[in-house]
Amino acid sequence: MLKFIGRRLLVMIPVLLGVLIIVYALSCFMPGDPVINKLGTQNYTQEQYDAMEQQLGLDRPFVIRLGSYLWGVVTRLDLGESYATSRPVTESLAQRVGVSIKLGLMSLCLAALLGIPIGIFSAVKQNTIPDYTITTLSIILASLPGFWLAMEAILIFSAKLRILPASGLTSWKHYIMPVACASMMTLASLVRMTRSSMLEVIRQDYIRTARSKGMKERRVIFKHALKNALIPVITVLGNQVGMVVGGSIIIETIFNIPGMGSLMLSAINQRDYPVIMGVTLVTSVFVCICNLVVDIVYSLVDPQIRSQFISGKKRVKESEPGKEAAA
Amino acid sequence: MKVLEIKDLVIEYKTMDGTVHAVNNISLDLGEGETLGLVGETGAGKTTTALGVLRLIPDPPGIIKQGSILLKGKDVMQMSQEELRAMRGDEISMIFQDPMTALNPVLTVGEQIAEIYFLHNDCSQAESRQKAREMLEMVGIPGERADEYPHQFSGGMKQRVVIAIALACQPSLIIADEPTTALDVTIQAQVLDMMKSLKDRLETSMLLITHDLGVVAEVCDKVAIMYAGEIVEYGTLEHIFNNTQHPYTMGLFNSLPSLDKDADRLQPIHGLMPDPTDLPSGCPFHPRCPYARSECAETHPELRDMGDGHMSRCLFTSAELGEEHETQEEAVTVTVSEPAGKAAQASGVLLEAKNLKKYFQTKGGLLHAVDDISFTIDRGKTLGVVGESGCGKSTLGRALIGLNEATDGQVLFEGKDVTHLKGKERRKFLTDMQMIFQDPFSSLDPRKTVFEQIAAPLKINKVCKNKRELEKRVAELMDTVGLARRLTYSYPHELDGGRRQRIGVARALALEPKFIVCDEPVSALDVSIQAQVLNLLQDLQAAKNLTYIFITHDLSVVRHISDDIMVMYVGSMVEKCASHELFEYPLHPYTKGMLSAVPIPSINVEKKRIIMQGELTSPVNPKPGCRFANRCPYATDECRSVQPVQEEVRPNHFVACHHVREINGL
Repeated sequence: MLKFIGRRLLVMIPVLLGVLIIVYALSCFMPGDPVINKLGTQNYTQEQYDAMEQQLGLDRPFVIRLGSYLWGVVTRLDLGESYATSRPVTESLAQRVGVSIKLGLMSLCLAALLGIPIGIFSAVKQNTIPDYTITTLSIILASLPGFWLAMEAILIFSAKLRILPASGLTSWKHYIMPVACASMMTLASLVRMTRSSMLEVIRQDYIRTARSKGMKERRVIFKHALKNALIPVITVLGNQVGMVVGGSIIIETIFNIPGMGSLMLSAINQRDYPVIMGVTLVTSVFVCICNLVVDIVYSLVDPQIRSQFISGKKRVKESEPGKEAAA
Repeated sequence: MKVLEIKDLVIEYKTMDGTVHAVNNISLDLGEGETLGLVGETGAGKTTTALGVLRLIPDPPGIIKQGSILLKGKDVMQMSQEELRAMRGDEISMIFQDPMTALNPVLTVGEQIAEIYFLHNDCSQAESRQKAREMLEMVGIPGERADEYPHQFSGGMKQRVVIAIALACQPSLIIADEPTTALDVTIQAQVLDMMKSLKDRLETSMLLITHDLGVVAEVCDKVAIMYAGEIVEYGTLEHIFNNTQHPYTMGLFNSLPSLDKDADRLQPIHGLMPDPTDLPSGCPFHPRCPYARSECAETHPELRDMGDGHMSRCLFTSAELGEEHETQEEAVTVTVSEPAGKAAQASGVLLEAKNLKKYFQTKGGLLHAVDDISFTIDRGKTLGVVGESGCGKSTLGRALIGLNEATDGQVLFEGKDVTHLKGKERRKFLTDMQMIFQDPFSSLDPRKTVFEQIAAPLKINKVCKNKRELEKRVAELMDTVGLARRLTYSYPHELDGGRRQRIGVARALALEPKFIVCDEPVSALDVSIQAQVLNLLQDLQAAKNLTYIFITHDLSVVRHISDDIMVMYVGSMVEKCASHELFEYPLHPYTKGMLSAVPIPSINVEKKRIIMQGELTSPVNPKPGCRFANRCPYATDECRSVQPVQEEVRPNHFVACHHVREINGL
């Protein structure tokens, strides 16, 4: 198992390098010029421009810039300095990363804690009014854009009812709307995934076996069906991690939360390459780790996958008697 | 008191296409310690009856419309949910058909057995686990394997676990739904043997659902034959096997290829099981019945006592049916075109395999799927390849045709080496050699019509000049295999298994091949349909001088169709000789054991069974020596260290065994 985790961590390295290279190239080739942004005015002389370009290190060719950036990241974990604030990127990331991850994990947990039970309920009550209601609602939720939902929520709960704060992140009340809005889409897809996966499992022969043993329906569902039904749901949950991180840009901007999302947005606007790269790197690491966690959870749920992990060890044991026989 | 009494049970399913009359007015009873066989083909309503007894019919769409089910005098129909749960697993338990899917993959087998005690006997968790281990030991699995998951067990072992679950609470009734259908014949013999002895020890009654009359003859006391949701014949083994009354039962017996008699042609029941949403008027069997008279279409016959409790649902007794038997078999018109006619004259060796080997690199090591096999096949003959699952027989077929390129050795076709052909040459060679695949349900593209399926090889090889010629050729092929032309533009899902397999046959014939590899072509089909397809293959062979390799696990089928038979065991060939010779003088201990394990659909044959212990050894990195040594009663140290070579023990009878002469007193 440890060997497996180690191997997966090693595989992360080329993935992360690839992400860095692609994003670096993309941000360099997108329209807009960080030098002009930094100068802050349209009235500049060529000398001023050249000086600033040199100061930011943008006068060097692209490949050299990329190389030195990667070298810095790999050897010193140095993500460079922000063009806009001249502060080290690592510093501003450190301030904001906690908030975003907290929000992200909270909305994922909320989605899972609500979505999976609702999905199960919907499957058990297949073709009844509650099931139809849940299915319809989840389709609607899945198709609503996050920013619209967030703005409507602010309009209703902050402007009209005045029960929840519209921006900032200082008390538990501040978390309610951002977490709820960020989790809605994940929630909706989890409900639908759990429902269909559960319906699939309920039709299996081993569920019929379980029923023929004379157990209560509740036990059939939770002991025999759920674990099997969760396997595809976990995959979806893993994929949703990326979605939640992406969605946080919108949510954090609308609710004015000092997280990575809002940092990313302002960096994109100002063509602040080092910050864009920094946020991308942190996000990629996060997504990679989440995928690793998903795989580990997989192996806990599905014994067939688990036995793949330990098969290496087992094989050594089995081959020993063979050696004796040969000798 | 009767353990189970079913009276006038009617079960229906409401579907989009109308009401499916799955079970119509079934009545049967079962005494203490008795075994009743419920026999019929797919769609006869056997499983629905069984689920009905447990009140496990999925509702909706299913509904038990009327009838009573008395379990030891208590009416199951009147029970509350609570009472039903207490009954299931405790009073009645069920063994399901497919052990691969009947166990929950994410729970250990121990948990799945222990659960029963926990649910019904008020045992603590620890006690339940202890009892589960004891139960595992009882079905012949070491108790310490209780903590393993189903995927770590072989099919036979899984079925033992399923049986352990069923027997755990010592129920008064076990319903076994095709308990051995998914198992290999030697494993089937082990499991049946165990079920019989445990049933006798625990004095349980059993309702055995099966399509296999051989299994019935071996295990049951009484038999009920089902057709289209009704019981058509009911009686003791003696009644059913020696005094068959109903034409359907007769048809079933006639469809079966036999191990001990040579019949040139099988006599299948023609036609298909009627659509359960739209049953024919009168006797539901009359459209397929060779004895049908005009009154059969009008009067729905009642079950009549033919004497001594032997019931038959036919207007006539077998004596009255008499000699009016007309063969109504679907005529197969074989159109022989020019080139095949010429080939028909030729004889001699068509295909030769020399030291053929196919290894696969797997995680665990080198898998010896086919290990050093040599043989020849003459033109116009059939070589049967038999063996249990995993013995490499399918891989052999695929290696011959080049679907899996051989690791070593040679395949000679008409004297030409075709082992490693590539590109154009290979395509050209494939017009002479085709394959019919095992599963007619998954080997056809579900999005292509019958026409497209059959036309595909013709199009790829640009055989036909224009569209009209193509259409003509496909129509000819459909006639050849007995597919009605109105089905030209149907999709596979609209057709039954037999018709789908006919598409597979037509597709293989499209290019007028000389040689066809048939990989289990009938094992997914019901006996009456199986007989139709086997007859078709034989007719085609006679007309076109085709050469077959017929791969199967079914010994009676292989005897029926083959000229020569090769027996495979874990990648190697253990015996090869002429078909009748193999069944009369089997020489290899494995062949002997396998032949004795086949259940024979007759109660007049006294038979001695050699139960082979254990299971197939792994073909991955096999140890030196005879592969069969670990199961062989005669194995010596020599067998465990030196692999036996094939020798000609009797004329044209090859065996690979060190001790073949001593064992057989030659």
